[in-house]
Amino acid sequence: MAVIVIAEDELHIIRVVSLWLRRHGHVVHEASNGREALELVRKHVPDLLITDVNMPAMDGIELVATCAIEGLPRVGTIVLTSRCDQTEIRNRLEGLDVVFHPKPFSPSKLTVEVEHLLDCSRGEPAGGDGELGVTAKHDAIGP
Amino acid sequence: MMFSDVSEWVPFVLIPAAAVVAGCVVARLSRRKGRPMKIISGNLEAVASQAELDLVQLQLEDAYGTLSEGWNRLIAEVGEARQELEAFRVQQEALETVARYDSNWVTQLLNKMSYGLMMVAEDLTVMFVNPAAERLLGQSREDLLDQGVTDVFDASLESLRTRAGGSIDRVFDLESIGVTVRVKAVRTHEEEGHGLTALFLHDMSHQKEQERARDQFLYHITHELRTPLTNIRAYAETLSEGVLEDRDSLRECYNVIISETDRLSRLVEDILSVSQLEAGSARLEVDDVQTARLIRQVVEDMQASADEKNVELTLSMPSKVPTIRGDKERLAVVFTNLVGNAVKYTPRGGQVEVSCVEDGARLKITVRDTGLGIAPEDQAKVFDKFYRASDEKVAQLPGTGLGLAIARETVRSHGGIIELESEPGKGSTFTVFLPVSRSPAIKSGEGK
Repeated sequence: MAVIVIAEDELHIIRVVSLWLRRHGHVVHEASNGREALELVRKHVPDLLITDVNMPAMDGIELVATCAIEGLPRVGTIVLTSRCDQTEIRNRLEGLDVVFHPKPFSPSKLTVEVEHLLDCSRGEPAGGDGELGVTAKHDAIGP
Repeated sequence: MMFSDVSEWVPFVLIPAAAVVAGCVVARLSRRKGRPMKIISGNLEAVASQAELDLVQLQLEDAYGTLSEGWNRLIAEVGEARQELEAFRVQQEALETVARYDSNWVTQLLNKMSYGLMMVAEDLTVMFVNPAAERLLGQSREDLLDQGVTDVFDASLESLRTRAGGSIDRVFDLESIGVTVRVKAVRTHEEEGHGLTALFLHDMSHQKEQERARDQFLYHITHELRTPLTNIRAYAETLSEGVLEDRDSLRECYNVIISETDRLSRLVEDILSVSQLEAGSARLEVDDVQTARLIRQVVEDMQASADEKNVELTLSMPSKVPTIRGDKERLAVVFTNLVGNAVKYTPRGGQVEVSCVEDGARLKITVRDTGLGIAPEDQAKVFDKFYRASDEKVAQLPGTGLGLAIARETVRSHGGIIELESEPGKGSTFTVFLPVSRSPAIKSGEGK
């Protein structure tokens, strides 16, 4: 079981992702913008942060950068973004330990990604279907 | 006293008669001598005054014949000389006109051409600048002539020093003045080993702005499409994987897929609509539009959303509202967008007033709300496609930023205008003016 904060301004997306993660036994805290997410991260010190990029109040880039300065989250961060935005976002997040997961995404593959990151942090062999990389900074496969 | 014989009266008759005859002869002779003198003096005056060619020939005989011939030859020569002189003058005048025209034509072309033109010497000194180049580069002719061309653009133009390096076709981003210029170089003149290069400058700023706008448009489209696609994908997979079992959750999943599919369809329609309207290729189904009925319908359709938010939605219209010529469906979209925005951006307990009055030859439809209002810096941009106000509260509400763009373009395509007055925190008023058709006004209750 891990503690996960999700930052996403689309209500339907946040609900479906939470649904899948909770079914895998994780504790999920939901935020509809970056600022709320930052408060939740500080409060709950999660294992993982899953965030969208374009959000009101504080965008995902600023959220991830701010969290990184504070040494949060404990295990890793997954950024949900489209392939066409990745170059710019990669540049802005250069040097940070971030996994990019493309949108539109498959909730099952996102869940596999989450388990994989958690396994790596525990020093266990990577689980899932073997399609994912073993380092933290890599591209997750698309839907 | 009577004369008895001829010898007595002859002297009295003949002497006066002879005197009369002699007088006549003398007078005639003196006239014949005086007329040539008059003609000659007239001709001399004509020559001296450069008057019209009215030289008159002498017609004398006998002893004056030689004089007459000589004089006539002289005046003929004078006449010819004057004709030649006149022809020469006309020719000179024509040449001067052509020269003047040539010089004006070239000058006018250089002054009025939209392309900037610079002439650059081999030492890279700017030798000539036309007004378009001055405007484009934001510098006066005097300033430009003082500089080397590499100072105006950059060091890459060093190649203009050589004939081989004179062929340039490059785009320069002059960031300091916010201009993008395409520079095309043509070697034009070679004199004693010294070359001159013409630089044609084309302002690419507008084109670049268009490209930027197109990229931005595509960027927004892909982002807007991605959210409903993500939802459909995620919820369909959730159903397919059997993650959910209870009936309510399953129903919710199906409803999300249905509503997100509708959202996708509306988005595609909106994108198509705004693109067609902007390109002027939108096909309007023009008919008499019973404005009163149309606006009442829009307000009725929005009533449920307003009630849900506890926003008071009211409509005021006179008993007679003129019809307008237009596309009913597209106009319905305009008012749905305006009233929908007003309801969406008005907090609970606020008011939205819709009114419709005749204003001269126009129909004035006003949508006033007591909502969030729009900051002055956003007001000019809210009609741009995909633009959403920077206000945090606005950003938290769903919207594609296409509604007002569609409204403005549709109103424009109907020959109308749309205006905005707004104060942040107090509310906004959108006013649409549409030309009234000549059809007689109908009662607002008709046809409901």
